[in-house]
Amino acid sequence: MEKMKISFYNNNVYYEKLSNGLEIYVIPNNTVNDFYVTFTTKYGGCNYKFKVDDKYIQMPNGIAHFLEHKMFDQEDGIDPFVFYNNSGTYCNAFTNYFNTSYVFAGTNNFEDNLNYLLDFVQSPYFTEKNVNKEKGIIKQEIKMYDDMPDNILFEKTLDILFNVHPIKYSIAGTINDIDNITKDDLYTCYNMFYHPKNMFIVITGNVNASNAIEIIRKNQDSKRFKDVNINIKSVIEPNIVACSKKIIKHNVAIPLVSYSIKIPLNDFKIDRKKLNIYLSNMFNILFDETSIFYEKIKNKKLIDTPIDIDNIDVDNYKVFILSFKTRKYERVINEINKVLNNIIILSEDLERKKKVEISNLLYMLDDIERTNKLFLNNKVIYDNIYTDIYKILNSLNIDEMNAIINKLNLRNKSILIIESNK
Amino acid sequence: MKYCKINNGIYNVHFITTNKFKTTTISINFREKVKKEDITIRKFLFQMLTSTTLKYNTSRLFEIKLEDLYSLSLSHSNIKFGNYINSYIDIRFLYKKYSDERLLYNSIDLLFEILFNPNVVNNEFESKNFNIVKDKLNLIIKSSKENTQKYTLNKALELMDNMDPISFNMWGYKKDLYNITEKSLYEYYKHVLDTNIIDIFVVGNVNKNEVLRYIESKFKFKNNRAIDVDPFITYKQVPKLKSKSEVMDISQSKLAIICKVLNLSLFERRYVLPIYTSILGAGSTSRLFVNVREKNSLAYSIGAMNNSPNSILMISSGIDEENYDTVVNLIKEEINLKNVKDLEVETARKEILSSIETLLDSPASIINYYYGIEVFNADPINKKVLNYNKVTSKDVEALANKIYISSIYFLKGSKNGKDEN
Repeated sequence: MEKMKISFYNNNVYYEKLSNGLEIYVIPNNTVNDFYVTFTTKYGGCNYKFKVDDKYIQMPNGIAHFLEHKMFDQEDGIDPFVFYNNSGTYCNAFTNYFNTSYVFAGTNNFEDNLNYLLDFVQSPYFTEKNVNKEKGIIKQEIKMYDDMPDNILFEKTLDILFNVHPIKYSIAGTINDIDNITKDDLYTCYNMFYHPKNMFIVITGNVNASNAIEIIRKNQDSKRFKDVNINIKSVIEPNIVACSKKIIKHNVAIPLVSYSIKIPLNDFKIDRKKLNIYLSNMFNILFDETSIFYEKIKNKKLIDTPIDIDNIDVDNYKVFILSFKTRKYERVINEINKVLNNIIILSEDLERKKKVEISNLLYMLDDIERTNKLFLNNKVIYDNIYTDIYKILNSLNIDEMNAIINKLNLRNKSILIIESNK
Repeated sequence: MKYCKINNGIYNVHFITTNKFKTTTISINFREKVKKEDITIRKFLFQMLTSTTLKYNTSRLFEIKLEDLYSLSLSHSNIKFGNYINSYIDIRFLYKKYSDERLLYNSIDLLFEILFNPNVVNNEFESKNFNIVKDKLNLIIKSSKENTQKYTLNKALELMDNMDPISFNMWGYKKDLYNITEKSLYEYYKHVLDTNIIDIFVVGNVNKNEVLRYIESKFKFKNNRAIDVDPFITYKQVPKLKSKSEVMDISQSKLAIICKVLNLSLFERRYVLPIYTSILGAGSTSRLFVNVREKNSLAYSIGAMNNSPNSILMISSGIDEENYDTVVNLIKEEINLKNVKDLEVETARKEILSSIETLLDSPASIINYYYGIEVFNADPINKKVLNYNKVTSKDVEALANKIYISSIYFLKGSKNGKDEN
């Protein structure tokens, strides 16, 4: 077991990699009563082709999410929800683009609950009957998300930004995709991506790290896993957008708009996390509620609510999505173009944002769920947990920021407009 | 963790001294009897107070100030419970170890600015920012149909009785918003400061006496205050069932069912109703989840919630239009919770007791806990545990017999939206 310190923040991280490849991170916080545990496979809704028996195969979209649902059916008939409920423990799962995570959180029965998490996620039981039963439930989930304008905006924005990359497609798939999924497909994906070497565990909260790691080690030592060779077909995504402007109709009161940029990062040599922090802060300084831009468009009555700034990492691209509600979107888009054509970041703004970054991490580390997700996301996106984050944040400076700005290619832009269907 | 309440004759200051967190939280709460005609102006007021002040008179300056205070987290909300409405402004900021020596006092100064130096000129809120907030609230009201589940639930509550406090729409009302002026908002501001009952909570590792002195030197309110109404709402009469449907151009139909729980005793309200709700529909082993979702694949989301001060139970789900009768019948069958098993009670109890164990693990839940004691005379943790352990399956079945459906609202997903019925 390796012990690492997150400098400045006074948190310890305990790390272990088991002989089967499973990695474990424990970040104890003994001032609270509860614990939060995630068991993650680095396999999510982004549906890449992968090699099986020397051939690349393409699974139906939505299969990782379907798999997440089906892990809750167990051969012995015990429902994991029932198991966890019996000790008053919360249990759930979620599928993102690049990972699927299984969660339990509570205050008691830690050892049994941890063993059960490993056992139920490592005991697939798919039958034609239980797979077909799930289709009705997942179709309702897809319909629910189809009625959420913010969700549509995000998914359709990725669709028009990307040409061939599987990030184009919804995590849950379409109703047609769901109809095409079979139990054999589920086993194929499970056997490839749920191998311990493609998975990791993050434990936060009131736990003893060495005890937790020993529970996992003992559990895993009693199981055998057939080795797999995970070979994902890389995608060559062209450095252009699939569609530069699209209008769709939906149940919105006034137009909901996204202005998105797909930024190629191949030419940057700087650490990806640090680059992301610089880019996020650049967009925040330019467009958030502290920006001159926002004050200007608000005073001109072009917009009533702040711009929402979202981002996602997609292989060698970084995507930023600015979304807003307004009827006068053409004018807002013009104003955004003007700002991006002449980016000026003041040193004092960067210094303030640096203070915000350092402080926000403290708020996050005060909450065991947010701490867990921070480590989980760092592991999935960067394969690094950044114990030196304070050093990175503290080293941000205006010269490096300007050097990045000078190299930025902001030409790949798309506009998506959701207009009222009435 | 140490708790201490100081009443200075006009308001309470509650100190929860703890070194659990890397932050300090201060929450100021204003409460009074809820009135439908005040919902919109109250929402407007607290939005206005937390957007700008006289000193930081644009939202840009205000936001920059928050960031300068080491990303001070500012939040506010208006919440109804029973006959009351509570509005709070919370600030959360870092310990001096991670920031600077003066941050505690600088943060309290900002809270003081927000409350006592609002963006007011000549006894009226400043027009430009007033109109910015008004436009923002107008947009929120206009967009309320975009959240179809919440919209359906609100419509079901209004259908039940649009003068019942639980039906008052917290998004606000367009007509009321239109009538609010810079002057009327200022008058309402004075009304809140002069008449509302005030509770201040301080959660963190602070020097109690020093902070109390500082708060009392700054936060000066006039008048004694009281509310002359019981917080709890009790129904005595069996309601007449009302049903209504509406068509909207959406993929999934939404169903909301509102039930009144008649003649709740205090024990039932506090301890039996949460266990009943958990068994019926509060989790993935609940009867509704198992019967509607797992056994019949009719829904992805189905759940029940209670609002115990209001004696109300709410059930909501997303379904296909053609399954309306099947789902409503399944829900009707389950509401009466026949043959409650001891194991079901035990499972629900464990889930609730587990959440009680974490009551003191976050500043927000700590404040909720002590505010519950202040407003409802709620039981302390040890008594809560004792009482939850007393609940039996017979208690749950007896409560189930007091539950009556009062309204059903159905939002039908269709291509051509038009009102029906």
